[in-house]
Amino acid sequence: MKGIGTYFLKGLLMKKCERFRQHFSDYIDGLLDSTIRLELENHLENCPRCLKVIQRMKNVSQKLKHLPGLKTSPDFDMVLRTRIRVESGLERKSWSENKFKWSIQIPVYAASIAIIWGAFVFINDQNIKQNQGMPLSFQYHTAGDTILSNTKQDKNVYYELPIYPVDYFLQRPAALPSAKKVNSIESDSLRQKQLSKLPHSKKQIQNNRKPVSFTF
Amino acid sequence: MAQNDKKKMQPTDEDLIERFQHGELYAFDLIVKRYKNQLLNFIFRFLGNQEEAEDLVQETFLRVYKNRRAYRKVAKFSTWIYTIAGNLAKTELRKRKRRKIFSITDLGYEEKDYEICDMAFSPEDQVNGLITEEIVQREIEGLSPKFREVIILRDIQELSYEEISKIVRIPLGTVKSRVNRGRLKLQERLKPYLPRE
Repeated sequence: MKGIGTYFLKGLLMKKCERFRQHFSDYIDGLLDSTIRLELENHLENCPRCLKVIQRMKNVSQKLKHLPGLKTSPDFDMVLRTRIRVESGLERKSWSENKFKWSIQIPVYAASIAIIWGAFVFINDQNIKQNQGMPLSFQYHTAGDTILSNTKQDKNVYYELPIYPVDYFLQRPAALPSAKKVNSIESDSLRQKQLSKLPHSKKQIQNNRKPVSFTF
Repeated sequence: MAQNDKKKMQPTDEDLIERFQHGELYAFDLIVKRYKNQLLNFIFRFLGNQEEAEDLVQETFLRVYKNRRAYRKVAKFSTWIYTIAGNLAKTELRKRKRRKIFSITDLGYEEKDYEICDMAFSPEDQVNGLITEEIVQREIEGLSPKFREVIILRDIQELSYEEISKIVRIPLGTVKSRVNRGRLKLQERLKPYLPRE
């Protein structure tokens, strides 16, 4: 029974030791809060083990504080200056090398971008011109007409179209949205008149074929 | 009194680096003069090799020279330069580990402290309680780097906990805990060499 009691008390003391252990360093440095310091000092009176640990920690700290200080070798400053000079030189050199590299690279990049942009604009322009050949966007005039734009005099280019534009719209009314809106009898009769004037047979079309002009 | 006046006349580290930032090279020479031995001791205690330590001190000053514009007056100059030196020392340790210069690192050097067979140990020394600088250095090197760094900064360089916290970039509480654990480990390692009470 006595053995168990001693074991229990020892266990309690060990737990207390562990709790105080985390404050040993602050105690040595004099940074411990007064309440905890008093508790720890009370504990140290009853625990020679912790007291020994603290004494050893103090000894080691003192020893570390008084370790002989090393001094750099006499040529330290000279070597450092040389290293700085060399490294600064390399830094400058690398900058000038980069500068040279960039002086070549920038025009090359600029030229490449210009070529790509030019090619894009050219291809796009071709597409627009091709689209202008579509019936919805063309204008037709009688032969010899000259179209004047705001900026320049456009050249008349003559094309033989396989079908008249009006025929095209008549065959495809959906392509001309405004055609759907004409509902009045007057408009209908007018349209009939216009239609009657237009050639209907293939032969008539061929006979009435006129040159038309495109504007670019 | 005259000494106090002389001290007052001395420019602070922050003044010196500012002057250096404005192109005054003499200010850099003064910085080197002030810090070269402090940094040498710090790195030497960390690595245990004077030649390597001196080389890293040079590297530290070289970095200060090259990155002088990066320094901002919000932080203490000493903190900045110790951070550079500490990082270089830790990098060197990692390189050593990679190169496997010391086969002992295979035992798991990052997390655990390792035991080195004491060739110079003599029972006589133990009886007399002699503790040589070599023994202390060897036992410091036996600590894991995270404890080693804070122990050197606190007990050898005698920096404040706040400064250490900024140099190592860990919270103040963690610094205190590491110093405490480091000291406990070190006293345990040096127990055979300390005088018996």
